[in-house]
Amino acid sequence: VRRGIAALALVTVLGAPACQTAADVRPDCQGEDRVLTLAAQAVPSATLLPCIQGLVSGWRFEGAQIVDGSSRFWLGSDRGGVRAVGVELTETCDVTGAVEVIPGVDEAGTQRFEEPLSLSPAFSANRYYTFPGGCVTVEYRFGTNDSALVLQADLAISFRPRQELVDRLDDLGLVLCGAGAPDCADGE
Amino acid sequence: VEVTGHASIGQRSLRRLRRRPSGEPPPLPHEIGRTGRLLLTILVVAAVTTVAAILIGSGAAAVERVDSAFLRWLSGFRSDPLSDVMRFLDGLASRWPLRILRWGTLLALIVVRRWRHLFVFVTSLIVLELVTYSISISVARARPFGVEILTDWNGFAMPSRPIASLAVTLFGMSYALVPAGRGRYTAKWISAVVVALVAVARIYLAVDHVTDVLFGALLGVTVPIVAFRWFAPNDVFPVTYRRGKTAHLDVSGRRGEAIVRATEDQLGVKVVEIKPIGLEGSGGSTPLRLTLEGEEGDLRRYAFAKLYAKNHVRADRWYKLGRQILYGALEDETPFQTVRRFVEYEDYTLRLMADFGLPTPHPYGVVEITPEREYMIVMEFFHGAVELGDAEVTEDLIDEGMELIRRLWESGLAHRDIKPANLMVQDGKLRLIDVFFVQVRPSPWRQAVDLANMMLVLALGSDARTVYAVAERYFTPEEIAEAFAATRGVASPTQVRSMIKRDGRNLVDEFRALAPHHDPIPIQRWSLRRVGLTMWVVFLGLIVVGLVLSNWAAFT
Repeated sequence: VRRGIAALALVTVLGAPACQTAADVRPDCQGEDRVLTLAAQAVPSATLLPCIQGLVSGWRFEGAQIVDGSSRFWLGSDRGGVRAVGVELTETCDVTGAVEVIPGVDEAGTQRFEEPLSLSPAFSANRYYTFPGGCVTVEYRFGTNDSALVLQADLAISFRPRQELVDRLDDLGLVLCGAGAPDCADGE
Repeated sequence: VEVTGHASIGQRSLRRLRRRPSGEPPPLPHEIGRTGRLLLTILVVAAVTTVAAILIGSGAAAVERVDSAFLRWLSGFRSDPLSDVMRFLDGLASRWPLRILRWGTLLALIVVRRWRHLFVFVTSLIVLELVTYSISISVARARPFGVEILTDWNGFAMPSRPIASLAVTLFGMSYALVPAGRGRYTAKWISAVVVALVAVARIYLAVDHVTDVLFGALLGVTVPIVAFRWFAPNDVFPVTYRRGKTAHLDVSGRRGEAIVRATEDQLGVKVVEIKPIGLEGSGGSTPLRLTLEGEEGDLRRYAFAKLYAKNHVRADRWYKLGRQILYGALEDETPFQTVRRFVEYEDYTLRLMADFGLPTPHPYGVVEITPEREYMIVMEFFHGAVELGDAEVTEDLIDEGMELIRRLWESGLAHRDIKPANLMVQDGKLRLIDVFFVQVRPSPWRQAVDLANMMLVLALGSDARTVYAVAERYFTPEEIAEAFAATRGVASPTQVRSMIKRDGRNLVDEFRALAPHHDPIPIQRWSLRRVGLTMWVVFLGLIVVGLVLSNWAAFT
């Protein structure tokens, strides 16, 4: 029994970091601002922040990685596969080769570019949103050729104005450095 | 049986021994020390108050305002050259320097075969990474507000993971690589200074709050200190660079004092000197010669003792598992579960052998050093005795050896470790020591192997023909033939095999030629249990390798 417990503990300890990369750091559009605040710090110039509006049945959040200079998160789908959609916020991005299309009504203030890569045997495409101070790249990498999954993914992804976070923190006496905020101390 | 041991041990029932009252610590308490307790307490208090303050709305804002105000004030001292220095210092806690330090430590520990320290070091790293990661995503604290961040960062701020990683690495190295004493004290101070400098740099660069680095440092220091003090205490597993088997325990310092105190309390005799002896012939315990208080020149002043700790129990378990996988269940391969059972069994076998009149040391009793972790068994010391390999092997000695095996057979016992290191000659008489492996009602195969090993050991100091002639007085030719049909490979102890190899004579074949023909007795035993056990070990190994590989990035 003790050996079984020890083996289980080993598996838990070794497996835990890989299993935990995520559910707790979900950048939701509503509710807690902690994750979006960090994303705003990662790209201080960005005036919009990509977030998760809600997931339709069959989709799941699969982790996030927020580092200085970029903020990424992934969505998975039972039909599209693991990390079927990747969303990354950066200050700039290269839209060469992509075609500009009219943005959706909930994408006001952005320019949208589409870059289809393959339709069969598996659907693959990139989409870019550019806006003042930032760019969001959405990578669709499905395990099937079912391009209708794009519509489901689009329902999940939305934007939140950075200014909302700046104002909320300002109410608390805190300054979120970057776009929409007063100059921060740099001392140099 | 002639008892030649220390008089006061023999008469101990006449003396009133000191009984340890309830609640009094044992001779060698198992503890993490005052520093460890203090660090743990500070860590718990700091963790609870900080995390609570940050998670509770108004508290979080207050902590953020104070932290940010300090960082804004500090940013007033920024300058380009100073920022470059701070970035360099911050780089010490980045991935590559830590990788080099960690891999260097792992390699060093592998080279010096300090497996326990290696295990504790790796476990400390894993636990710290796991704990800091879990806290960081639970608290989800943003980077500092109101001040420009001057360096790269990754993820949430609380606790400072680079500071925690640097601290656990440096303090882990201090405990795993540096011997206790002034060297380790210095190493810990150097570690503390380096961690403090990097912490100051990260605060200056405004990548971490003050509370983040304090919490990170506290975690990074506490985890290795508590882990090493609990799982690899210096008294039991000292860091030394002397040659010797890692199974042997250091008997100087606190443990030495504990042995003296415990022996006086529990056996009623005062130990004036503890000397490790015969370490090269013993891997399963730490053999000691105890000099007891008494008249100079009194041969009864000495006692032989074997110190057993939990690592010996684990070594026994792995040894038996290995045997089962390599050969199947040749005999009882059930491992001992506790150190207490270990010494109880040896004490029992000593008394059993004495009851049957076998020339083994007289047992004096068991001494508890640390309850359930460390015990010492004390017995008669064969003063002036030499190993059989160093003595002249006369026909009388051969006769005694053969008679000894016959008596073992008649008593229904097998020694299972007949080798020169366990056969002593004292005043021309053969003595048998190390009865830990003795088995009651052994298999006929094991009895036969005892006979063959004894004949081989005796022939090393004489010749096969003489030994065979004497053996015929006690055993039939068929029994001798069976003994050498059973003896192959692992059936003989390593020492016997290497001595035969050095000797050059093919003694096994010489004995087989003298005895009647007997078909070889196979030592491989196949069973469903053996197959299942092997598959289970391979399966577990693959899982561990897979998990380590899949989580490689998390630990480097």
